[in-house]
Amino acid sequence: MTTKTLIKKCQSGDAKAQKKLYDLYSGMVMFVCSRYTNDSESAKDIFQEAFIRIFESIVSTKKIDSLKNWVYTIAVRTSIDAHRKKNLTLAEHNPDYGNVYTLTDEHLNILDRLEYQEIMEVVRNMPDGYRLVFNLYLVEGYSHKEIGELLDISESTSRSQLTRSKQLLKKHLEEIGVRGYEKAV
Amino acid sequence: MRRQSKIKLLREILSKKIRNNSETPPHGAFMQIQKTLSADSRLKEIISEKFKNKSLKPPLDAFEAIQTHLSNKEKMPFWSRHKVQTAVILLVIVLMSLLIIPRELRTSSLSISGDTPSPPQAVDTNRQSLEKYKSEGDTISVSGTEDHTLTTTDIGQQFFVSHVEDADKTVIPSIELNNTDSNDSPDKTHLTSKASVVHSQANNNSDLRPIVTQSPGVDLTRVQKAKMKPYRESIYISSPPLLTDWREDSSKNVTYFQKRINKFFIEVQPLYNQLMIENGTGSVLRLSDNQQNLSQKLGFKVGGGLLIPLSDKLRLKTGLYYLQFSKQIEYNLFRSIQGLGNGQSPLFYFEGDIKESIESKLILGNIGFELDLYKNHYIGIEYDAGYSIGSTKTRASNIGLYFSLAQFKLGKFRYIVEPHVSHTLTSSSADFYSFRSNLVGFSLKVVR
Repeated sequence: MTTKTLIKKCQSGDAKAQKKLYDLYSGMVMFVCSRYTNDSESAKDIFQEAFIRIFESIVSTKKIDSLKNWVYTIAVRTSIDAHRKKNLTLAEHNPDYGNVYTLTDEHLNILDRLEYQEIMEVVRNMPDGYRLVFNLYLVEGYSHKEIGELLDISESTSRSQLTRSKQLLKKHLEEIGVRGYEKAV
Repeated sequence: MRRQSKIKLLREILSKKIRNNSETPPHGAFMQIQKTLSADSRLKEIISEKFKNKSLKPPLDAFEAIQTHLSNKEKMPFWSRHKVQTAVILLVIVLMSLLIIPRELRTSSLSISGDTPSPPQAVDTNRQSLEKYKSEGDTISVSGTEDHTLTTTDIGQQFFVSHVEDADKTVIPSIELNNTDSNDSPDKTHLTSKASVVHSQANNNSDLRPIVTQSPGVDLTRVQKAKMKPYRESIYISSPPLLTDWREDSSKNVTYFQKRINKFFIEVQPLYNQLMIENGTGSVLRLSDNQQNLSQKLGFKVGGGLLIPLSDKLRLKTGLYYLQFSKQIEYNLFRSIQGLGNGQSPLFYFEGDIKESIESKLILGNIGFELDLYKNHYIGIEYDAGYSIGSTKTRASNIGLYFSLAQFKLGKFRYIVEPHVSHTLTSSSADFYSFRSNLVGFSLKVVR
């Protein structure tokens, strides 16, 4: 079944087509939802909500250039909406944190060697705000201005949230590095 | 010196001295900046690479839960908004028609059929009466031909013999006069002769007593042609039908009935769309005012149905139509984001430029009323409702007005040009926003 046919059938409510679409992209959507939450139950809820939105929106969407990107976008938006429902409050920018961190090449080298599951673990353990901005900036590629508009925060708040998330990442990488160093030694 | 000019001068001096000056930056600052930027971009690269195309196993029963949720959502209550609107409009149309239809037609009237009727209050048919009418110039006689076509003359009298094969029965001829076709020239009136067979015991009078019925609005002096429908046995009219003084009040001792002749019509209507996109209620998405119609594509509506006369001036119109139009449109879309827990009203940020090609193919059911105004010109009100082909989820309903602008008759067909304007009541095309098209057009209607 071609993508066009799949879309058409989903638009007409064909259950088999919906299942096919689900099978194709459920893994990707689940991964997206997991990145934005710190517990599996919330991830499941967001996952379910995302697919409900996908099946409802596909009926009314006239043109879908890339089905994968379209599904991905809905998954991300659903994750963001889930955070909004939590009434998340992000701390305003504290200039003291402005230049504290610097990820050196060593940190980045360690990061490069890590598997994605371990990075995911670090990301999941971050506070909600850090995790949100970390994902939006580093993974989805939004600018701070866009993140500010998305989350109704200032640009500087977005920057500070990212800085703090990088600090946590740095701290974790340093721990891994120390452990690595200790092993070597 | 004035204060303003002093300030201006001060600004000039400071600008020269301060703005254009420079200071040596800290050593290694550029490298630091480069390092930070490259670290940032490298971090981005690593993270996006690590997370690219990754997937996780979804929960086991998630799909079933999703399907259940979707099917529960689809179970709408019987009285949905669309149905309520339809019901209200139909109720209004019925109430309006009750005001317009004459009272006489709402009371039950005589109907003569093949079963044994009790003769209505027939008028005396003896020749004396006829003579009387003839001398007064009010009589109209009917003459039969072999093909049972009766023609009338203004003055003149011909007689027929009534013949019934079955001696036990007596034929009571009746003449039915009505204006059956309000689209036709008002000069024409069809005359239909019927016969009711009753048992001879019920009526031993050899003088046949024709039953004459007439619908309101018939002017017998204008009768030009009549057709007689033979009943089961061959019959002839033994005496001209009695003709009352038609100028008498029709409510006096005479009952009337109206014979309806339904008309078929087909209609073709090219459409010009004034497409309008509206924000949905409570929507997350919002449209800007900046909408551009990229192409004004014409549509068309074609269909046919039935015109059922309810009175001499009012007709019920029912039909089935196919409607198609397409259009390209460009607009800006904004998505809302709620404030984060601080009670702020939603912020709308720019979602993107949308270029959309909208195409609709609909099957519509149509019901309406046409009211004659003057000399066969009429106005009409109609209501369409239907579904998009291939999807029962896309619905549309329109209410429209039209009137007959010009018409001519060719053979058995009447061709009518009607300007139409319709307004969309519901048009569901998207979850968050709806497309509404106000359709303006002319239609060509052919009626038989």
